[in-house]
Amino acid sequence: MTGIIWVAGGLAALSALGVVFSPQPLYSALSLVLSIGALAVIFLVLNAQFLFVVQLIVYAGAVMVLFVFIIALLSPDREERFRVDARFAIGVTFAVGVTVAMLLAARNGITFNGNGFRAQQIGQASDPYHGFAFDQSDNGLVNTAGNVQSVGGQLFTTFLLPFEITSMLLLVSAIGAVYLTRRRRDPNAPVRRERALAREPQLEEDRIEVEVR
Amino acid sequence: MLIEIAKGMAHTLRVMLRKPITVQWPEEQKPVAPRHRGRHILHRYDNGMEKCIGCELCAAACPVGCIYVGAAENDPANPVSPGERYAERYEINLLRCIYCGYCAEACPTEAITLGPRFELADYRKERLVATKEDLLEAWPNMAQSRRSPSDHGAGADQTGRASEVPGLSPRVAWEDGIDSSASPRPGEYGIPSHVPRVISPDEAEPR
Amino acid sequence: MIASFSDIFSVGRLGTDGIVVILVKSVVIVLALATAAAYLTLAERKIAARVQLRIGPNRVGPMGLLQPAADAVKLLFKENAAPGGRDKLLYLAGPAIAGGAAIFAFAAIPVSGLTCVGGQTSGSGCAGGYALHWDLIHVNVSLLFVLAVTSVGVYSLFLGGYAANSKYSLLGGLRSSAQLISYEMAVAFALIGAVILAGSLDLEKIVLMQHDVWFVVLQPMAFLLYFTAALAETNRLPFDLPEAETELVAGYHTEYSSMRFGFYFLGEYINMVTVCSIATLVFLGGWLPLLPFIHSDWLGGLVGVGWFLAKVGALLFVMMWLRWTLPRFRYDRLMSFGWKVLLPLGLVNIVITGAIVGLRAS
Repeated sequence: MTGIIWVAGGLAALSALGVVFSPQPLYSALSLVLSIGALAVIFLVLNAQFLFVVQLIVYAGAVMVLFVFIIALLSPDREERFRVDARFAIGVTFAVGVTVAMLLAARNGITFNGNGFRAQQIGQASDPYHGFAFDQSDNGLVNTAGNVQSVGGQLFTTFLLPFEITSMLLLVSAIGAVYLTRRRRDPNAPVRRERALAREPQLEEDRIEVEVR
Repeated sequence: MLIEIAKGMAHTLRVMLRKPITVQWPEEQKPVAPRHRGRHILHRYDNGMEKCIGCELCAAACPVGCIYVGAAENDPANPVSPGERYAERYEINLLRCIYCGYCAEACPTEAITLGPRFELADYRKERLVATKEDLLEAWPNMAQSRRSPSDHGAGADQTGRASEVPGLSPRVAWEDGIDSSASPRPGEYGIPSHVPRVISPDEAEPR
Repeated sequence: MIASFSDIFSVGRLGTDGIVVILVKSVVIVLALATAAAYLTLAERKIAARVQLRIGPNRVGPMGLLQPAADAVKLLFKENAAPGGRDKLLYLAGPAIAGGAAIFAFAAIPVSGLTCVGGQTSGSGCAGGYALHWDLIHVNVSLLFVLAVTSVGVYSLFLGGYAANSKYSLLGGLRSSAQLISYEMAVAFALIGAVILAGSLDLEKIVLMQHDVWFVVLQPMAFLLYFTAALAETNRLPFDLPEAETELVAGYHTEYSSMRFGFYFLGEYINMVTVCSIATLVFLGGWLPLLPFIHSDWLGGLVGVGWFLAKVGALLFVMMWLRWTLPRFRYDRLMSFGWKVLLPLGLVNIVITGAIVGLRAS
């Protein structure tokens, strides 16, 4: 039951730690992939099936592949192991403190209300760890909350403008990347033949004409 | 572009439906050409006398030096060959031989020729020094070794184990006591017991 | 309180199927896929031989039917030669992800229709008896599930190439993974046309929507686009430059030997099966019969499985036929083909399909 959520959540947390504490940058990236996969499993268990596949396709399958490419090719060196000093202690305290605060806040029922989280219309969801029962049928509102029709509908009606602006942004960044990485050629630079002749003047005398019929 | 791909695929499909040209060796055998140079044969005349006169021209012509001829005087009462000498010992190291046919070209009496047999493998090197008993044609069934499109085979290998030969070739430094009936017997070690069929002159080339 | 086991596991079929059926299905899938991949190697060799006017393996077992077993034994006994400077964890992870992702992608593929064991089919469910669905897990976006798992499988190529500490492997791995992620988009765009017609991303529903006409008739261009992009996804000729023998030695699996190479091989052939399965489910009507008088629900759904396998087999044959017919794409032309030809054609297909469906609906 909730066992899977515990396992997946634990795996996500451990791989997140692996991202931070791995000496090799490639292992950090792969730990992030693992973390993303674990989160996707949690989405699946909570019946948000579309989010599960989208998380895997987009995040784990495209974005992180890009990260892994770059890290593997540019080969940053192995970092030295982290040292346990004052900076480390401050960072750990801060991270643990924030985590505990978040858990307490969620545990004690600070959740969204109103139209943002429709499940509350069905069961009592003030305390998400207890008292949460949701409708399993295909028409169930929670079942549609992560579903393709619901997401697609909202995306093309209510949120059309942000969607279009985002796609324009991606297009501009793609064009910009292509433009910035184009090979710059000096228009006055000599072409290949002239460069070769400059190196080897003998070539001109050795040239013969061949007629191809 | 799709049309070209479709044409290519149609061609491939047609080829798939054709009968393959594989010859399933060793169950099937591909016939050999008439001038195929395989294992050597020492010929006889029709009256049974050996053609070889022990002149050692083949040994001289051999580029590798794999032929040993031990000549002996013909006993006038019982001549082995029509001439003064005959080859008492005749050995060819089949491992050294390059099957070039110079010995057959050099022979004045057409005694040594190269026949169709090419499956000569064996596990023991000493068995691959062919002696006269292996190379000599059978008699009186000499039709077997003539160049005829018959698949009965050529040479003395059809007659079973050869008799003992006196000693080993001096070119070969083997231990004593080895059975030097050299040529691998058909039927042993999976060696096929038939000889490749020779294509007759009026037959078309095998495809 | 979470009311029952089935509440949280209505995803998949763990709530309705029970653990025994799940285990049986898993074992059947793994065994069937492994055997299929093994015998696909034999089929490949025989078909290649016929195209080249020879016979192919026919010595090991009658007509060579035990050849895959001999190959497997050979692979197991081979020496595991591995480069010294390799990254040990990632070197093992590469083949593991390849095989694992390939098999896992098959979990959401239904090979036959709903079979009511000991009951009557009523509507889309079963009245009485046990409802046997022929897929292992069920998400209502099962088509996307398969795409998601295959896109995670890209890591296997890249990690294999990177971990082997060899420049040929790295280049091959790089090229392979770049090719795969480029053609994933072409695959998705080609499938969207059929999804628009079916109105669902659920593979079972997509097949059921083809009961009067198959989508290959309504979407021929999408089928061709999907098949071409799928050839590129599985690194098959004419898109196999990254692993072609004459090019980068063997690409990302150069430094692998023995069973690790076997796993990559297994992953590639199982990917072929998965991709052909998606093509039959989405375009060729899945388990629906070709000859309408042989119904798919006879023999408890096994005839449907038979139809499914026949169609998948036909597509696999076409894949192998193409391999021995077409020359190889050069890598830059391969990439420009994916981005500049398949992707725009896919978009055109989506626009036309959407326009027609939208106009008919209004």
